[in-house]
Amino acid sequence: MTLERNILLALLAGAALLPFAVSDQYILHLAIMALFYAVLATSLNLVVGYVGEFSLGHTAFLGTGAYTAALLSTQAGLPMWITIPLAGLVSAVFGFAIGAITLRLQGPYFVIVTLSFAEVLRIVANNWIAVTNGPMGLAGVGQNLFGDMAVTDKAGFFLIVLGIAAVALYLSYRFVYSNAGRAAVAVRENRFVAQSIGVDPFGTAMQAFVLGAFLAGLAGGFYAHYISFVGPEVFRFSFMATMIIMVLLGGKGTLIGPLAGAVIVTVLEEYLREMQELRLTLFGLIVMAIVLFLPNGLMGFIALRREQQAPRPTLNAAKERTV
Amino acid sequence: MTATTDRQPLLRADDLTMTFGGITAVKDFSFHIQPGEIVGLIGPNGAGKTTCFNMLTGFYAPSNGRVRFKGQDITNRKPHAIARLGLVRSFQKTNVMKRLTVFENVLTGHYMASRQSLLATFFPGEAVRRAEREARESAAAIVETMGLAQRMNAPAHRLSCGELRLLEVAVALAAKPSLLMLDEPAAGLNSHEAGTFGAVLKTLVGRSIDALLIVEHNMDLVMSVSDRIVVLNFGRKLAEGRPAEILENRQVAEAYLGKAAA
Repeated sequence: MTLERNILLALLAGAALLPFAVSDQYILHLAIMALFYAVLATSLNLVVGYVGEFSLGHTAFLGTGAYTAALLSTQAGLPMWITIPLAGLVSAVFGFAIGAITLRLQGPYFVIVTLSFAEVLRIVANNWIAVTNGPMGLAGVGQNLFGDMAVTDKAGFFLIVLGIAAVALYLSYRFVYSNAGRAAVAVRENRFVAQSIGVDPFGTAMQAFVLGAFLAGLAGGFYAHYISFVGPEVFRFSFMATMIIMVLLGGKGTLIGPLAGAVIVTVLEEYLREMQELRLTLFGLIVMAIVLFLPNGLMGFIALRREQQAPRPTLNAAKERTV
Repeated sequence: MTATTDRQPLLRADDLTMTFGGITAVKDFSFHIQPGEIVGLIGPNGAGKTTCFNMLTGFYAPSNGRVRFKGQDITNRKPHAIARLGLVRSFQKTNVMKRLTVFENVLTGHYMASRQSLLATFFPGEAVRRAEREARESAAAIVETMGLAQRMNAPAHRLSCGELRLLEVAVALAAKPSLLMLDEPAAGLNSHEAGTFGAVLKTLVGRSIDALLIVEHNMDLVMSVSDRIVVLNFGRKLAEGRPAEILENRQVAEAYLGKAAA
């Protein structure tokens, strides 16, 4: 717990120095995308790792956040410090509404219904031309942070997304290591035990789900301003696939796992850019390999190694063998 | 026991009936538990004991009948709402959080004592930190009481069957129940372990909990810990009384062993 916190703080502090050390715009862009995905993966991890249900509809919240920020910016000319938090809040409201329906379901039912919500939102974005401009999307999303003060370089965007990542990690850390987080783990591990110690499974899952939606909305809001364009493809499944790979690779149910997954996958994606057609196929193979050989991701693997190397009292070891 | 009968019972079930389709699992079952009592619920396999447990704790909605706990009608309430009133149960099939350590399991059991507002979750103050400290101290103390201190940091899936049973009771105790209901807690324990377990159970009532209801097939254990025993057979109450009375009851012997040849 403290170890995890200290690693996270060290990582954030190290990352804050990056724009001063690196001036290569391409590397800064990669770092920005890695942090953007880190926020997304962290938010999905709250659902997958702490509600314990597999959501395939997390893009619903990314897209809602992106469209919210884009509309507030293009229609009302609001700056980022207002639009991004509002994007998170609107996504959280969507999370509450969608959660109220989907969190009553479990297993494959939950997967399918969350997926359909993302698809419904994509169709709405595609067809509600008066508001969303349909497939043409919303272009020219402003890049002003406060009032007219515009963010002009990648270093500025990097610091903004780093701030969002810090908020996301702080909220997740507080949630995961609180009584509410323990209750969520209890529901994930054993629903019956959770109920018998007074945990309301629905209410607890809802907290994690809405927090996940809020963080995904923040990421979406940032994305809209950074790319300066939002189209219906924010709801598409490819974002979802990327997020899933990151969470599974890093290790669900840990805070550092999704972070590590986001960095690795972002870099790998760039590296594999040459093999454009083969990219998704390779990713598919990677996911299969993870599920088969590292079911708890990289962090699970590291934890396992540490457990194996730790000296164990021989008496207990002998006892275990006899039982 | 006679001194307590005129007091208001801690738990009172009236005419509980549970039907699954055409099958009646429990029929018109009434009983009560007084504060300070250890009540044993026994009966042959399939008699409806676990169904009773599920009706009392809200996991099943009874087809008929009412359950009152501390004077409140709790029929048809949700399981977590009933647990919050102080009625906590364990399960027949061992139910713990397998991937968590012994300590984490018991700490999680303190959920109700450490509940806090959403704001306090994200911006914890001194009160939250104190509650957290107290929960950790209490968790360690409960692990110790149950004799699991040496296994404090072992993941639950590494425990032996007997240790798992103890852990399950520890998690239930962590919820600070006033009525603890244990469903076959000694299943899988050898006779020595069962004896130790019974001794631990006896010390709990009056100290950690107000009363205990125990379903158990280990007759030595049930007979030695219970103040009163209720016998179920084919979903109906067959007998009720002190352990010595039940042991001599002809009907009970027949239910378990069949009729003696005439």
